[in-house]
Amino acid sequence: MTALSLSQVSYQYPDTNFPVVKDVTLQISSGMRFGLFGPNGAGKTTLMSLMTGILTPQKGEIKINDVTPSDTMEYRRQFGYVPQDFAFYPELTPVENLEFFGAWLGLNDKQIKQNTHQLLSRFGLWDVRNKAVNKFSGGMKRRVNIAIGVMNNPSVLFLDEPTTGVDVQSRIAITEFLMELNLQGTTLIYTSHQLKEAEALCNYIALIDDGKIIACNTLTHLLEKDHVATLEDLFLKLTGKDYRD
Amino acid sequence: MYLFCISIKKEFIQLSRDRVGLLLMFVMPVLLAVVMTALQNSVYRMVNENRINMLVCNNDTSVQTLTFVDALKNSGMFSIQVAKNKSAAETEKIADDNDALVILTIPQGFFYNLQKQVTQRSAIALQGFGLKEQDSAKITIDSLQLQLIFNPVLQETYRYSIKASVNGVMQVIQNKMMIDQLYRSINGEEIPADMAQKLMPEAIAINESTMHAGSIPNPNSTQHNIPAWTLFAMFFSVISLGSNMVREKVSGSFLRLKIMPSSLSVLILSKQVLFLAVTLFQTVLIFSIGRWVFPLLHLPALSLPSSYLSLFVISFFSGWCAISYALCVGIIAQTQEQANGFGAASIIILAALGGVFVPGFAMPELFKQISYISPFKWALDGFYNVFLLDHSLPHIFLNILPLLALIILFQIIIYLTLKRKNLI
Repeated sequence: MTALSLSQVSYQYPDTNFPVVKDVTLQISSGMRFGLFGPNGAGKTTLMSLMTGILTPQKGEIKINDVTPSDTMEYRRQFGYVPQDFAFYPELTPVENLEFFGAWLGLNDKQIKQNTHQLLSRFGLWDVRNKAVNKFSGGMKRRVNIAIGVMNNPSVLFLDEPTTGVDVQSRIAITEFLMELNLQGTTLIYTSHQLKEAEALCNYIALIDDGKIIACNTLTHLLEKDHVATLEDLFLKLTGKDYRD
Repeated sequence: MYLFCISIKKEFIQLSRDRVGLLLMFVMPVLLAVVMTALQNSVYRMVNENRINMLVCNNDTSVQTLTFVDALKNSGMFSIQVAKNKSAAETEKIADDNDALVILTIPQGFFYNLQKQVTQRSAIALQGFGLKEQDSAKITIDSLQLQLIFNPVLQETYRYSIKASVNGVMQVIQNKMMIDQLYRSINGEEIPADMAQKLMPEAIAINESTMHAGSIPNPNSTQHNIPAWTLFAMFFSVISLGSNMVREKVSGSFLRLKIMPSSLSVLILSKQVLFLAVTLFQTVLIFSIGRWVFPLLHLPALSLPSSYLSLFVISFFSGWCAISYALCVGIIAQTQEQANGFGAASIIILAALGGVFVPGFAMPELFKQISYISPFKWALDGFYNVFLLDHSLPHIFLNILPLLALIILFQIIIYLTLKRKNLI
């Protein structure tokens, strides 16, 4: 079953001359751990914004679980989103943050309490549940950020560099949690510059450059096809070593 | 409704933990109201209750000088000390030692010359009435002068008041001397005391009252400062609310909420409702301080109007306008520094234009015209109408209408900016 599909999707920012995403077509099956990679400015953030409905494509069609963005609220119920920024309220406690975002995700009071307890315990934050998040370390904040993204048990989860700036322990904990989530059926759509971590996490890879998908398959298939040993080698082979920003 | 309540709760928690914002919204305006009222009250007292120290440097030996000095004392405006036959330097030293703000110098032979002048005028009058033969010699009248030396700290308005008082006293003495002289010239004898009394014109009684029936009889500094600084407090929510909006945008929370299955308008609405409640609480708090705490500080108590509904309505629309402005600043600003800097500076400028610091009628014509763009002007006029003129709801409609227009304008700007920034 297809979790996410993009068909001939293009997007050009206003007041620019060229599209940043050009005729992208993708099929992501349910249960995949899909990694989207590319150099800076390649178009992956724009593509992520298009998939999450932050931006609307000028051309093409996007569907999540067969729901199109025109059915706005239903489309938004299909996925969770973990942004790269700490997109929460640092002056609030983890419980207050999860309560607020849980309500915004359409959960009722009982579901919010249940999920809050479960997630904070899972992320080792239950003991500090009543402490303001601005007193937390980077790793703890990152875990709060992820907990908010999965509050509604989404079938598709978008992750934008979810482990940036965290220590090894937190990174492993986050990766293990994402694997567990995937085993329970959640489709992961992941972007990062941490290619070693991506190699461990993702089973399907797409490389984007200059707004186009230049490679898309299982990691094993791509490595064999291009005769390289690692994802990093593949990345450099296909996108070159020149600065992009 | 659950989402709305949760959003209100989140805004409340954020506000309750924003110590700087709370300080600026509650403590600063209260302090300003107390300090400004105390200062203005002391000026009011100085003008209306305290007497101006005057040193009379008397170089005249005639008995009329005593009458003149007594009349000045009885005018109620001066506290008088008399120095006799002193040099200019000595007089100034005595004035400095006694904190005298004005020196009145009576030149030598002043009243002799005044009597001479009165006699000359009387002769002219009698010739004019045909009661005395025309004198072949032309009568010339010498001009007389008193000298007033002012302390440089005295403002122009005080100088005019002092000159007017001295002139008034002098006029009475001249009139009496003229009547005495005319009587003497016609009857050849001194005027009887009771006749002199009858002929002296009595001062016309002036009844004092305030315009508009039902208004508060004695407007004072409290009646101005409490509404003015309450408005200032309302608009200073720009620091808390503006920063709150910027933080939400910069952190990405706004974008995160945008892609969740709920409408962002709930968030904007919850912010407005909570902060509107805060502005109404500010009103109740500052008005209560004016009503009950000011008398304990020996400041005039706030007189509340009879129409509480009018007071609520003008407070409500003023608060809503302040919140809309704060949201507008928060949405447009890119950083917290921009929101705080522009927010605070713009509030001070709008408050100055709106008459918070200096009453509108005292502004130059150009600034009076510009003041129409300031929500403070309309809100303050509304409060004045309620507080000083005791106007009911229909009468303050014209003050509410421009506030409502500004609210709509700010809300449109908020909507269009959110749309332009792809946040809704």
